[in-house]
Formats: sequence, C-alpha cells, structure tokens
Amino acid sequence: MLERRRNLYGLLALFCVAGYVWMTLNIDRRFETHVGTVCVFKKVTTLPCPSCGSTRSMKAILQGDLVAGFSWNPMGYLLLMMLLVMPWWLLYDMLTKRDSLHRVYKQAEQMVLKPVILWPGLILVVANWIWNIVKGV
Amino acid sequence: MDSGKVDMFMMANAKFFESHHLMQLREQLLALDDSKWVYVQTISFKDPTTSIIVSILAGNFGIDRFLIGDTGLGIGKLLTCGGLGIWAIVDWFLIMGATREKNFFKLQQVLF
Repeated sequence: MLERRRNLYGLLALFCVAGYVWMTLNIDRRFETHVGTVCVFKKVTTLPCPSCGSTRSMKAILQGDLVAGFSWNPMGYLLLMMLLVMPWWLLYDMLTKRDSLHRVYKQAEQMVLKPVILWPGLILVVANWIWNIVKGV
Repeated sequence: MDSGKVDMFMMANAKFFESHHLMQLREQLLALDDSKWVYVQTISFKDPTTSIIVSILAGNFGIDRFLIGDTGLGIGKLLTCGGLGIWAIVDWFLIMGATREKNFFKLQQVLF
C-alpha cells in the first residue's frame, strides 16, 4: 500500500515537472512552430486526438483569453487546474506526512466508474473529440 | 488445499502472473481453505497479451490503463495525449508487468 502511494506521488510529481517544463517551452512561439505537434495519433492519421489543442488552450487561458482557451480544447481548463493545484497538494501531503491526495485519488477512481458519471463522461470526451475533428485543431 | 488442484490452477494460470510471484502463490493456495476454492476459480484474470495489443493500438488514449483497472492513470493518459506520446511508448514495455501485478493483487484480495 505504502509503495503504491509512493509510486503515485512520484508519478504525479514527474507529471507536474514535465507539465511546467512543457508549458515554459511552449510560451516561446519559436518552439511551438519548430516542434509542431507531438501527438502520435495526429501524425499517423492526420486527425486530431481528443486532447489535441490542450497546450494552445492553456496558453490562451494564461494570456487571459478564456473564450479562446475553451474553443481550443475545454480539457485545457482541467489540465491547468491540475497543474496549479497538484504541486501544492503534493507538498502539503509530504510536509504533513498525510495521504489525503492518495485517498481522494482512490475515491475519484471509484466514483468515475459509477454509470451516472462514466457514461456522461464518455459522451463528453467523444463529443469533444468530434468537435476537435470538425474544428481541425 | 489438495496439491493436485493447486498445480492444475498454476499450470493453467501461470501466464497471468509474474514469475517471482508463482512460488508465493502456490504456497498460499496450498494453505488455503477448501471453501475458498470456488472463489479462486471464478476470478477472471486480464491477459497481458491483450493489454499489450490494446496499448500499441490505443495506448495514446489510455485505454490500456482503463482495461487493467488503473482508471486514474487512464484519465491522465487520455488528458495528456498519452503523456505527450512518451508515456504511451513507455507503457508498451510496462503494461504487461502492470497487468500481471493487477492479477496478483486481485487474487490476494480473494485469498485474504
């Protein structure tokens, strides 16, 4: 149990660092145009994946353009929220030696599998994907 | 538990577990009460081969993680486009081991 928690916290910390590095690099416009898309699915099929446009969405939100952020990809809001909250939560758990994040993660995992949340969630993801394809993100 | 039954179970299901778990599992099953045998037999294990195929085809969307029951990581993968593609590739190598670990964990829940 303890090992699982440590693994999860390590993974989340890694994601936070990767997310911040990625966003910092993407603030520079030259990087964005130089690298282009990193999405394997888009490279192979030329169609966007459900999360394509999230980086541009987060960038737009950070620049204060909330509408553009939503229209690039609504998932950007979710990711940005996670990127902002997660490091502090991890730090809080580490300093106070609690496992609140792990407990919430486990509860969320259980909750997501309930049909009341699972089906609307799935429909939203697919709808967002179709929207992404129509927009040609 | 009868050693014949246990060995038959081990032979039929060895591919679902990590090799270093097999001896421990055998010992646990031998020490298990006969009344729990029916529960052990009704557990359906996830096939590591299926998960590697799913990982290669739809790993970018986190379907492989959803399949083995790692819902949280699946959502993480879906939201980040397979961790910018890197996590998706790393998972091609990790997913079979993760599936076997999950199977082991599932069996442990029945055994205790």
